[in-house]
Amino acid sequence: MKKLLHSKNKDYFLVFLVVALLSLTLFVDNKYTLDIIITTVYFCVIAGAWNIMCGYAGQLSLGHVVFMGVGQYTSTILFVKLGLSPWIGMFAGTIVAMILAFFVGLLALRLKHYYFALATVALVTIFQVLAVKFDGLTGGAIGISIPYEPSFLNMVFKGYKPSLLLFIILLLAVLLTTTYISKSRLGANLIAMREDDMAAASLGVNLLKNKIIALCISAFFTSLAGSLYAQYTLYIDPISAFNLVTSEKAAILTIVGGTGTIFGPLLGGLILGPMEIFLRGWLGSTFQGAYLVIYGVLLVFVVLVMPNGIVGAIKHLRRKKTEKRQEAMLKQEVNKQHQHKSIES
Amino acid sequence: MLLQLIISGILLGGIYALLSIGLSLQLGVSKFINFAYGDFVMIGMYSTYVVYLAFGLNPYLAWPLVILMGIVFGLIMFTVAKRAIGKSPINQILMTLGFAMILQNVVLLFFKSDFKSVPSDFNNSIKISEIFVSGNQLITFGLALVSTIGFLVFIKYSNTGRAMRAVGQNRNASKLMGINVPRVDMVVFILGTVMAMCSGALLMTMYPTYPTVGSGLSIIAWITVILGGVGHLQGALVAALIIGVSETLTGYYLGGDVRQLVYFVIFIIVLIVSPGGIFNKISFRKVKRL
Repeated sequence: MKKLLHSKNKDYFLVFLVVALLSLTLFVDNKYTLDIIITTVYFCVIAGAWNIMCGYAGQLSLGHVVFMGVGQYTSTILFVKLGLSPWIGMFAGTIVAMILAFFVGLLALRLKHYYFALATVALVTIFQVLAVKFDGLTGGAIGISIPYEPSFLNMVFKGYKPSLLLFIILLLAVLLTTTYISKSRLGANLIAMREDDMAAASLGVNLLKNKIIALCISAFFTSLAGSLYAQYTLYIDPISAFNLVTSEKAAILTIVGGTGTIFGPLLGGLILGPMEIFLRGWLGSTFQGAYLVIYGVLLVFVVLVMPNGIVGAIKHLRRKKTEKRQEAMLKQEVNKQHQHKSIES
Repeated sequence: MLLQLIISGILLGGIYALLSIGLSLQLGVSKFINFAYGDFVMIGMYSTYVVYLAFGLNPYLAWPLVILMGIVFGLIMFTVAKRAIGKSPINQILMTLGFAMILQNVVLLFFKSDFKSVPSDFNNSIKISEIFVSGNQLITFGLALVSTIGFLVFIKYSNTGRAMRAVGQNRNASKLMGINVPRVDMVVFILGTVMAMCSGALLMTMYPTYPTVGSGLSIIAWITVILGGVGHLQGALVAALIIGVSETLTGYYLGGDVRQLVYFVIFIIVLIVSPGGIFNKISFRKVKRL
C-alpha cells in the first residue's frame, strides 16, 4: 500500500481509490440522495472535462456548454426522430461536438485571453438563437421530451442507479484521461504553453495543434456528459442546453478545486455540488440565487487569495512543511557542531 | 422605409456608444478586463428606479444622484478590484464574473425578477417628413455624442487625461516618470463605473430593467469596444453605429429573433480577421490611440 502511494503510478492508484469510494454510493436507496449524487458526479465530469482544456492549456473558455448542448441535441434528435439507440447516438454526438471543437479551435484559439473568452461567449448565444430558430429540427423554444420507455437499449432506466453507474464510469474515464495527459508529452506541452507560450513555441511546440487536440478531448467528454444527462432528465431545451451559467459553473468548480490538477475539479465538484443543491432546496423560495452569490464570493476570494485553488493551497502547505522540517534539521546540525566546538575548546 | 430603418439604427447605435465609453476607458487605460460591466449598468438602472420611487424624479433629473451613487459604488468595487489590476487577465475575467454573479443575485433578492420601469416625459415620437424619431432616443444619441467628444477633449488636454494616456501606453514607464499609477487606476475605474451607471439611467427611459439585463448589455458593450479597437473612443462610436444599423436592418428583413445573431457573427469575423478592431486594417492613418 505504502509502496503504491510512493510509486510513479500513485495518481492512477488514487483515481481508482476515489472512484471506488464514490461507487459505494450505489448502495444508497433514497431517491432524493441519489439525485443529489448523480448531479454532483455530473458536475464533476463537466468540471473535469473543462480542466483538460482550460486548466492545462490555460485558455479560458466560457463556451464549453456549446459542446454539451450539441451532443445532447444530436443524440436526442437521433433517438426521438429516427429511433437510433442513444448508445450509438451518444457517440454520434461526440463526433459532431469534436468537429465543432476542431473548427472553433482552428479559428478562435489563435486569439489570446479575453478575446478567446469573448468569442466563446458569443458562440453560446449564437447556438442558443440557432436552436430556437430551427424549430423543425430542435423543437424550438419548447424543446424535446424523450419518451419514458424504460429499456437497456433506450438508455432509459426505471431506477436511478444505472444512470449513477454510467456517470461514475464516465468520471473514471475523465480522471484516467486527465492523469494520462498530465504524464504524457501532450500534458508537458500544454503546461509549457500555459506558463509561457512564446518560450514553448520557440522550443518547437506546435501551439495550435496541441490546443486543438486538448479542446477536442475536452469536447468529447463534455458532450458525452451532456447526452447522459439528457437521458437522465428526459428533456432538453435551448435555454438549459446552451446556458452560459453551466459553463461558468464548470469553471468555478475547477478553479475552487484547483486548475491544472487531476483532483481539483473532483474536489470542487464534491464540495460545491451538494452545497448548491442544498441551498437551492432550502432557500429556493425566498432567495433564489443564494448559491450563485456564494459562487461569486468564492470565485472572487479564490482568485485573489489562493489562485491555485484548494489543491494548490494543500500543495503549498506541504511544501512549506517540508521546508520547515529541513530548516529544523539544518539548525540541529549547526547546533551539534557548535556543541562539538565548545566541548573541544 | 430604408431611410427610417437606418435612422433608427443610428439612434440605437448612440445608446450602444454611450454604453461602451466606460468599458473602453477601463480596458484602454488600466487594462482592466471587466466582464461585470453590464451589471454596473444594471445597478445604474436600479438606482434610477430607486430614486424614482423615493423622490419621483424622472431619469434625466436623477442624474446627479446617480453620479453620486456611482462614485460610492465605484469606490466599493475598486477596493476589491484594485488587487487584480495589472495581474493576469484570466484572473481579472474570473473575478469580474464573480462580481457579476454577486450583483445579479443580490439585486434579485431585493427587487425580485419582475420588470421595473420608470415613466418618461419624452416618449412621444417626433415626425420629420416621413421619418419617426423617438424623443428619448434622440436625447440619448445627443448625449452619447457630447460625452464621447467631452471625453476625447478631457483625455487630450487635461493633466489627468495625459496621465491616463501615459498609463495606457506603458504602466512601468509612467510609474518611472512620477505618475501616481494607482491613483490613475482609481480615477479610471470610478469614471468607468459612473459612465456605466449614467448610461443605465438613460436606458431606463426606454427599456424596463430586470436582474439579468446586464449580461446582454455587457456583451453589446464588449463587442462595440472590440470592433472599435481597444482604447479608441471614436472607433467605438463608429462601431456602435454599425452594430445599431445592422441590427435594425436584419431585424426588419430577417425577423426579430436573428437580430442578435448578426452582430455576433460580425464580431467573430472581426476577431478572427483583425483582433485589433475594424480600423486597425482599414484606416490609412492609424486612429490615434487613447
